Amino acid sequence: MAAVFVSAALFGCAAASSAEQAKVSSGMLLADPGLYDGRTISFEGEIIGDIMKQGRYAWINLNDGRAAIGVFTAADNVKGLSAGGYKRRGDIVRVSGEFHKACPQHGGDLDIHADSVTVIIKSAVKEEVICPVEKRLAVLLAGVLCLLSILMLCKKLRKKR
Amino acid sequence: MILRPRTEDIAVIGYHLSKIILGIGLTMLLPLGCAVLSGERGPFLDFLVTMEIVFISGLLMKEVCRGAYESGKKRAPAYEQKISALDPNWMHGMITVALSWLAAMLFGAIPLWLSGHWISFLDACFESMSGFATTGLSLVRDLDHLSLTHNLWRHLTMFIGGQGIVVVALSFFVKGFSGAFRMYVGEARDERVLPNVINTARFIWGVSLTYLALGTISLGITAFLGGMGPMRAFFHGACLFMAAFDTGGFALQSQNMLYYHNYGIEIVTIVFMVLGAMNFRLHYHLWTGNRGELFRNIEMRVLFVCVLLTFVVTAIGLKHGGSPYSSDIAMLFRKGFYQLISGHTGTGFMTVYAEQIGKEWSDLALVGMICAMALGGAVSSTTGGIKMLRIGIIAQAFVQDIKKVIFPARAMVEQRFHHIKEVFLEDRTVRAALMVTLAYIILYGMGAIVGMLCGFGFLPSLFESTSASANVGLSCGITSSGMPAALKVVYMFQMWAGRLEFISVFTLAGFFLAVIKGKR
Amino acid sequence: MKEKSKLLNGILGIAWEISYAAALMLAAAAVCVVILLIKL
Repeated sequence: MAAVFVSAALFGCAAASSAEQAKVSSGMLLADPGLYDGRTISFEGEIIGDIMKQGRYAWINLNDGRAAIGVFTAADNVKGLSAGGYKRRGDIVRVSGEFHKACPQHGGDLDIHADSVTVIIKSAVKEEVICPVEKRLAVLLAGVLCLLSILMLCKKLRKKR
Repeated sequence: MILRPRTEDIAVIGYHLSKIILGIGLTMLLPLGCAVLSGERGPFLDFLVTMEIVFISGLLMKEVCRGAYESGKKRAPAYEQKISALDPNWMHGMITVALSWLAAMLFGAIPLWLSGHWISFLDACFESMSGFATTGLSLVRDLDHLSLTHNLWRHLTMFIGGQGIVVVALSFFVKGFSGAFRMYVGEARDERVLPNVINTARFIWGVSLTYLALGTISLGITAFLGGMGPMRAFFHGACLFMAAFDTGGFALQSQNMLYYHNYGIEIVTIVFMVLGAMNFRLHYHLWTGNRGELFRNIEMRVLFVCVLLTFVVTAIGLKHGGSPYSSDIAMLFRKGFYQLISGHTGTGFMTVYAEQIGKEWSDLALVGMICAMALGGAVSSTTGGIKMLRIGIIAQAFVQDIKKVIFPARAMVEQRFHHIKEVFLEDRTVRAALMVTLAYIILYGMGAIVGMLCGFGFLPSLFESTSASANVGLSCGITSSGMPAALKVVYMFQMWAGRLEFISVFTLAGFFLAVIKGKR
Repeated sequence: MKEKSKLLNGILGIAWEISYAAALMLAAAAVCVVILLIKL
């Protein structure tokens, strides 16, 4: 009976928290961190840099275009995800969990302790864009540089004579 | 009477400037190599084009200046023709230094601008000056997707600028010449570690490269233990070391040090920041067995006291302002002390967001931070700001004046302090220290006024201005690519003047004055 | 022999420098404790 009651209460809490779960951006979080402190929020962004696994937990950093926010979650949640960098756009994920403006567990970091991580858009390779003008400029300048060094060499040789 | 500079003067300056420019071009081989190794084609092209531009302009300038000098010399009176060719005098040396920093900024900005991560060439110049002057204020957009090559270059500019562009040129590229010392001094290095400037420059690089190895290993291992892949961990380790030891403050990711969420990295970077704030002459004495110097040295003592005093102010400020950081030792250390030591050593690593400092930190905490940033580290180190030796000298002068009042009128009051050797306090020394201190305070104030003219509050303006002039790099949210262009230019000037400690900048100003108003 | 003592001096020098940084951090931690304990 007690078990049923507890689970019902937990379910109730979960339902309530998902109802009050606010979808926020990094701009909102940084503009007024106090407003969201301790509340369950949902946040979307691209995983950037590295997925840093430390034992049973992992750190990821999510960038939503304006700023990146650190997310602390169970290592199982980030299995198979990939992070973005120069050559790759990382997975865009939605996390939901408790936001801390100064997390007591992590030395005061502004972070989200996420319960769930869901992939919205899978990561993809980014094609490098190479400007054709720049390519031609490189060849042209190389020619000028060669010409210049040959001229200078000639001058030096003539001086020696 | 002011004499108008002759063509030969300009030719001598240009000749040495061109050599330094060629040296800067050679340092770009490193990012070029990185681009090849990491297979980044776009950045490879960016650096190739830049190197070509640097070499073409450097070579052309060298030829033109040498030609101008030689033709000028033929017309000069016979006694002048005997003076050894192309040796710079004091004015030449100072101006060459001031200009070579500007040249480094311009050429260093080209690859950044080509990457497309900076919205204008001005922004790229800001970034490049911020790097060379080891400031660390950044205008980059979407740093998280910047290539490894460009990131390496950003950190390399700090490694080059921290040791000194001229020091780099002297130790690696340029053969020794008798005017070398004049250029070395122009770079805010008024102390020679060893009697010979070239050996001094080499020693400075010896220290830096030794610590580069140690730092890369220790930071790499810490980052690896924190869950990063081995290659990335050591790449980050090397870059973070350059930013920490050269008290620069750039980081590879947009969150700066908060990205790592790693206690270990914070501790190790604190160690390297403090090492970077030490005088290279002190490094020399400690490394050659004179270890007692660490405790007797006036700078190390003053640094210890100043760090603790400013931290007390900042911590009380945080507590008064009801900051959550003041509820727990770990938080106060990792957020309060980390920001403070980062500011005091002129690094600019942050474990909080710039917006948080601007909005959540109380005025008292900001004042504590501003004081710490304004004070800076040791002279002849890689830090900016007023610097510890000057603070020590001024404090000693106060003590002496108080003693003069207390002691009988006929007593001789002599004041000594220990900096490598026992030094008697002379009025000349005090005057020099006070002049530079005053110049810094004016520079801090000037930037703050411009900041306020652009519509920012007093404390944030002063914070950001001090951060730029003392080559710190902490930000309370003003520095962004959207800020007014005038403010960007002012901050760039502050970084330049603050890094060179004014003398060479004043000489350059005097030179221009002489060109306009001088008599032949 | 001389080379060896030179190297040793260098290593000891580095150790000394690092211990200065460590001392600074310890002192700062002590300040943290004091600030947290006192009531303002």
